Amino acid sequence: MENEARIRREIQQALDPVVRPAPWLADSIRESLGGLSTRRGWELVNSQSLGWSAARAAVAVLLILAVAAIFLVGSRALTRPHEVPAQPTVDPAVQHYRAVVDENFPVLEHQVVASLPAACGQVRAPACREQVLKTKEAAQKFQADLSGVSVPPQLQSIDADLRTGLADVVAGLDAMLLDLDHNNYDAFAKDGDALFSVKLYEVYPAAVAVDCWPKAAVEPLNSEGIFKLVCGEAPSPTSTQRYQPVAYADWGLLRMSINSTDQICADHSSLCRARTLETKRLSQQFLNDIGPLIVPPQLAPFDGELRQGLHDLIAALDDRVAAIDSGDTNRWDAANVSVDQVKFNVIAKAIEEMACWPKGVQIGDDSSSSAWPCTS
Amino acid sequence: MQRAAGMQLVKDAKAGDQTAFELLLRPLIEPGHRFASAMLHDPQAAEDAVQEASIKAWTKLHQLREGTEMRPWFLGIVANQCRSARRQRWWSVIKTAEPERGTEPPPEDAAGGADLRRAIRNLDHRDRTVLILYFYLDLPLQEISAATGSSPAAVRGQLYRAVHKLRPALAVEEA
Repeated sequence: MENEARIRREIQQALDPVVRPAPWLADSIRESLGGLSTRRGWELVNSQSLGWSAARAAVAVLLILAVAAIFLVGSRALTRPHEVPAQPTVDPAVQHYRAVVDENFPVLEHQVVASLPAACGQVRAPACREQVLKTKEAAQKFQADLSGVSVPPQLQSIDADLRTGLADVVAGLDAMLLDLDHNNYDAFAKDGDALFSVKLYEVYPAAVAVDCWPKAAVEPLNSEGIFKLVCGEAPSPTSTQRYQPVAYADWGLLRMSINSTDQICADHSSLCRARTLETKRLSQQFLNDIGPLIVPPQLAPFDGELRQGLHDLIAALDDRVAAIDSGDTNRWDAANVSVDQVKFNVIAKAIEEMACWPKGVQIGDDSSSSAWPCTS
Repeated sequence: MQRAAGMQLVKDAKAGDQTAFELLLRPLIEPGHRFASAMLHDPQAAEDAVQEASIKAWTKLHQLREGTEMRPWFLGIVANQCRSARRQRWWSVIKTAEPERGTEPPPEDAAGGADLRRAIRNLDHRDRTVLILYFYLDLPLQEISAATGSSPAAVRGQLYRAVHKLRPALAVEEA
């Protein structure tokens, strides 16, 4: 019992610093609720006097409105001050390119963050399909505008990332349209999730990088795990500084892809195959990205583990696809375990070791945990 | 008596009385905010999660079954919002000129506290939820069970596993 009290105290001491008082929150919530009260009253009064189907329709309308309101609140995230970027530059080509991104990205961002979720809270609503199309139009306009601009040499690699990300967004939206055509709402939700979780995750960093140039868009180390891109110092020529940001960024994407696929594959969902192939693509990309980099001597052993882990992961993913194709669920389950083991025991460990160097990693008994602290 | 008054408020709120709902919600905002902050480690995202959970609670109040306590039901909604917020964490991508220093832990707890926070963040959603509800919000197992939809025995098991996973980052030896 005393032990439990001490654990409680430790956890409280660790978490207290992340809780910031928000005395305005109650008022803010009250204000938000005020805007919804009339609609809620409308539903309650009317659904009692209508037949079941009409009442269901009324609830459906209400849901659309409620979800819209929720996402309007959510979209406050968009109005957070984007203090940045624009590093003054005299290069007109960079200015022109940046203007194209600044014109198109906020439109696409708003579509994906606000308009699409608001309209698709009720996925059967015609407005949903309309917003998917509108989002696709925004992404395609972005692509077209980029095609019409000459890419400054210094932004070429960012431009390539941006184009790849946009192509993925368009592909994701096409998948969502197909889901709607087939009335496959479960797949629609999953593809929508993928659009949020993966596709724009690729576009956003590139858009930030354009704004930040000649600085780099970096996820600061020791950022307490909260994903925030900031304009930081451009990677210096030292190999450590080149190698680590690439490894961390690619690991972030890969880890997210694996995690988002875990449950789907554990459930033997039909989506598992496509997600597995996407994870494989990211693993291969990871290998390609670190391939040409000079490995800092002190990180060489961990780099070796990482590369081996990525190869093992690709093999495990291939095995999962083969298991799915053969309909062998036992092999499928075994492949799920292999993917999980490689992720934790090899790749996560290698990344943790790099992050902790020159300290070591204190690996716990529980091999399923990735919560390994650096040694003191 | 207090419970009866609470039940009446729930009844009134379900009938569309917003004031009744606000009275029910008010004492839950602070624990909801603490919970979301501990789950997300991002003040803005935590506020958003509680705000969205409040709206969701209002629009879904009819789903609150008779006799169910409001607090675990609301915290369950907050937990779901936190899961969505983490899944869509590119929402929290912000662009600032330089890395923010303000989010760094105070120096005195920089060692143990940061490791433990990192370990808590790395727990999966379910383990993190029960751990924080139990150890940080001091909720009894019964309420955590209601919030998460798991049996009290399952919650106990999750807690055990979560603490076990945290062990390397805890100064206290696990029993």
